[in-house]
Amino acid sequence: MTVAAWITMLITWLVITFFTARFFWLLVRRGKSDRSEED
Amino acid sequence: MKTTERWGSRVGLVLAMTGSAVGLGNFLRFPAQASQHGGGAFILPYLVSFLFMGIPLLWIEWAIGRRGGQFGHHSAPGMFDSMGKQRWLKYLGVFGIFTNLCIAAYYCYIESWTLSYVWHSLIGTFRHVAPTDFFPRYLGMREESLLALPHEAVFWFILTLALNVWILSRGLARGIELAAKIGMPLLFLFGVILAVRGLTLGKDAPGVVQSPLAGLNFLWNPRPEGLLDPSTWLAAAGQIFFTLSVGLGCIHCYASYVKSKQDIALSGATAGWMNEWVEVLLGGSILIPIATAYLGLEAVQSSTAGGSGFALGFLALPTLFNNWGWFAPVAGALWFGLLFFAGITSSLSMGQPIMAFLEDEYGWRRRSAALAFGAATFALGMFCVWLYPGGAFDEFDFWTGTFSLVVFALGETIIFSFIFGIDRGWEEITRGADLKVPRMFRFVIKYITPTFILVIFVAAMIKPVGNWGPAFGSLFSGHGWPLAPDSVIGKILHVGVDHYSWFDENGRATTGFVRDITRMLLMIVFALSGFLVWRAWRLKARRAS
Repeated sequence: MTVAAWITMLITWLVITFFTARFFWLLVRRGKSDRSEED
Repeated sequence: MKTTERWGSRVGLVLAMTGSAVGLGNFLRFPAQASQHGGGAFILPYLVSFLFMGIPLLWIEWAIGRRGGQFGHHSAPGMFDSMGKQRWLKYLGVFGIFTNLCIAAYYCYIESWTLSYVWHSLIGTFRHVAPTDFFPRYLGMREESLLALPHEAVFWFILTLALNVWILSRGLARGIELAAKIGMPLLFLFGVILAVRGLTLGKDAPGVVQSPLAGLNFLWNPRPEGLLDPSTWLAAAGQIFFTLSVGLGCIHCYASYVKSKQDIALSGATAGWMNEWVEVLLGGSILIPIATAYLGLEAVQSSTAGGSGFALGFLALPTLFNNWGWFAPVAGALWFGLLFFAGITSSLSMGQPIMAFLEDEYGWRRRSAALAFGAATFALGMFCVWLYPGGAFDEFDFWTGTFSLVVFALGETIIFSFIFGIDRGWEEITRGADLKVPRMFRFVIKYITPTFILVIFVAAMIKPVGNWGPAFGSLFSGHGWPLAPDSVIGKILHVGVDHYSWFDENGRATTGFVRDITRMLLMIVFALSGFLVWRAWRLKARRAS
């Protein structure tokens, strides 16, 4: 693989993984607090 | 009878939404589109389209859905009816019934192929029979015949439909949500196993002709000239559009079971990004690298030239897995199992809006509604099965799986911003939000997103043969517009068909005949869906008076 291909792929993977993980983590935390509020 | 169903949890809802979006296209279409249009250069327009069209469209649909649920509407006609005083608004929602029903009909057929391929992988069919021979035989295709009645394919189709109906009849939390909670993690797991196995293939492994990394390189090496080509931007925007399950009415329906003050901004964004993760990281790391390792880059380039990875996924991969020794049946089962989970979580989301329509507007019970969905899907699906060689399947795919989605999405963005009003729309999106939605998205939703979809719509109408640059050159030099056979106008006018007629000189029906009766059938289904909407409102008006 060329360096340009590696860089493009890794940056894209990092950006997508970062936002996916961040939002999913927020969702799980909010979900827990929603449940405790309902209780 | 108003339904009081709710999702069991927010994670369950987001997994169901992600499951609805993640489909076969994530694993078959994305890698082929990316490699065809500029490799790494494709990803920039792809992400720009995701931010300025995909995410806003998701928020619009979540907002319309959650609002509709407050009025007791869980399907598109009622939701749109409640967005303004105009009586015609509910008829845009007809697309939310028609499209889901017709796509489910042929999509469940593809889904049944994946299920049967899991079985055939496990019993080792592809060790003895080449998939290129197996597939046409499985579909019952015979030379020069426009008809097919494949017994085995029909068996798997009925089994798949029965599974869908059974899950749907169990309800939201115990059916769809549970299926997503089981199916999505398995899909991730299967995808990761295959990606790791494929990417770690050594050059000296049996059958390997090239490093799998050459396939990744082909996919990711940026070819900057692609950025200047309108075809790349259109392909990227089109891929984002079709991967997110927008323009269908499924998202509206799922979101309608969310409480009125519960967040939709974070949930919508999470579902969208999760779909991207599956598509880009998993979808981009399985098909092309493995196929490149065993077939070589040139063969992969030629088989993905049409922008579809179908040939590689169904016809090549089962044979290539044979190089993996004892792991071959497992690998086949993992690959087609992954496609099956991707498919069923999507087809379930197509059934729910139709059932919700029957339950809300006609007072049907869930089980009856599920059976009605199964029966209608079976009837339309059998039309595709029967006339598959004549092109009925492709007609269903084009008019419902491509054209209708764009029309519906264009209509809903305009209604949301200009009839319902962007002020109310923005309040709807941000109410209860667990995520601070940047204010620039208000402008994006009102102007940029509809423009994006309008461009896709116009491009689909007049798509030229080859690239857009030379097409404009041809137009301005007086040679006319080279309309592509797969453009909307090209389809209507049967461009590229020599001697178009319904019957040949021997009096036998042609594919032109099959295509035209398929279009008539689709128009009848659309009209019937419209009639059901009209009748539901008429009954309501009578009851009210």
